[in-house]
Amino acid sequence: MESPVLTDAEIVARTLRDTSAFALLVERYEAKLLRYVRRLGVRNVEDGEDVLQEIFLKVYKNLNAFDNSLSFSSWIYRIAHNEAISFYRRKSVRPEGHQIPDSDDVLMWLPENDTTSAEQLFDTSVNASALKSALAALDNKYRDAIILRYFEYKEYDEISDILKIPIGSVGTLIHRGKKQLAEVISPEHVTI
Amino acid sequence: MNTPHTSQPHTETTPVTGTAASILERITTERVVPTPRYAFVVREYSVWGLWVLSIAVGALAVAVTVYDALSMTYALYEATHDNFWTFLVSVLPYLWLVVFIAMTVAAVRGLRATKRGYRYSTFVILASSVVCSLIGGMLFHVLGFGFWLDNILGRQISQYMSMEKMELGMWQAPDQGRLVGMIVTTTTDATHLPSQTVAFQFEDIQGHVWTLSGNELNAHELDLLQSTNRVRLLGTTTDATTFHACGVFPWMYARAMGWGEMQHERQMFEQSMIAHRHMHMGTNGAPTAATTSTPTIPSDQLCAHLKMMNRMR
Repeated sequence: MESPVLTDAEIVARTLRDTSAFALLVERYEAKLLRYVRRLGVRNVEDGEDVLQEIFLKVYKNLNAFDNSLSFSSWIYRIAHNEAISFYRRKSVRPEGHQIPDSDDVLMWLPENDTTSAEQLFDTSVNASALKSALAALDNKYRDAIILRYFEYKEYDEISDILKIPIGSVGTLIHRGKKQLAEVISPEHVTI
Repeated sequence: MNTPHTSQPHTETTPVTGTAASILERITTERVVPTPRYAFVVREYSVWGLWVLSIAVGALAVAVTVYDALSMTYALYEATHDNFWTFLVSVLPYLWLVVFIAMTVAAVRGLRATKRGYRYSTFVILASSVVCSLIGGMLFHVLGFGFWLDNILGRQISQYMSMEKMELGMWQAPDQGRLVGMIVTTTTDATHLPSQTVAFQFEDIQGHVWTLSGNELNAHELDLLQSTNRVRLLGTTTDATTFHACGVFPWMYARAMGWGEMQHERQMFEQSMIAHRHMHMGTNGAPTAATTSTPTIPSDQLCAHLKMMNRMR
């Protein structure tokens, strides 16, 4: 007999009693997190898989640290973000650029949600590879916020929980990130 | 928020494959177990404990600073320093200011490290830590902890410059015309002093006994001198064992002066110094005949020639 749909918190509670329940969490988040760490710059497929494994092992080890008052999604994204950073540090490399397969989505999303001077940029169509290069050139703090907002579709409070920064700072980072993005993106890659 | 995912329901009957299977295998083979909840609880409480400790130490620093600030002899700064700023620079409790800043930084970092600390802006965290330390510091001061800590450290650590040591250092300086001590007795053996001299035996805090001339002291100052309490003297040495007193001030250490009391002391100090100056200048503002006709300063005008008189406005 099939069980009803479980919330993340319920699966966490169940995992603490029965390890096999952890598979539900892995299946629920593996695709999202793999995509996220690749967007953060872990481009190599094997590296991505390794980072993903480490993320889930860390999640499992720290299940008792999960606070029900916080979104599990934000919590697991935070661990993923930290693990991706640890990966760079271990390898002593800079993020390997950013995979932007869904940049069209992003470009549609950006102008609807923010009213900054940078939005004019996103009213236009930007070549995906140009956006990829521009994102790679962004300061890490701006890039993290931009990726979470426009590629992972996270709300400000979720980004605040993931990056562990005040909500007010999230808005600032996104605003400045977009501004910097507009500055580094080459005009020839923008078609109106 | 932990809303169920309805697009792809997860069931217990779904076979575990792929990443999930390999992770479960690693959990089993590497014997990975969730860290007990108490470890996280202990960590959280430790962080909060460190924050409380930082605030408490910061508050003690504030208490000592407030005690020092209120105990300073601002009223007599011309007696010990060239101007108010050199006085302030030399008496500021730098150690405690550094401790306060260090504890505030520690408190901010501690609060940031708590489970929810990241949600608040640096300003909010900084302001709350500073306000907590200030309130705690004022409370500690009222309870006397500022004085107590300063006093204990001063006695236990020779390098620590307590308020008492600083005050004594500033006022026990005979060559600069300042003494701390009390009269032993009114002397009957002051034959080396001019006749009509009001003389005392005065023992300073270093045990040196001076023959003290009190001719230029007013009635209030003479009363204070003879009260047998410890006092501060302002004047000048006339030889190795004789001190000519120009001002007598109570030894205020061990109790902070109120603003009104400080103003009163300032007023008394100014009145006394102005009286000495008038004695020298005469009522019309010109130097008296005695001071212009002879290079030797008469014994009743020594006070008008104190170096510090030039610093008085």
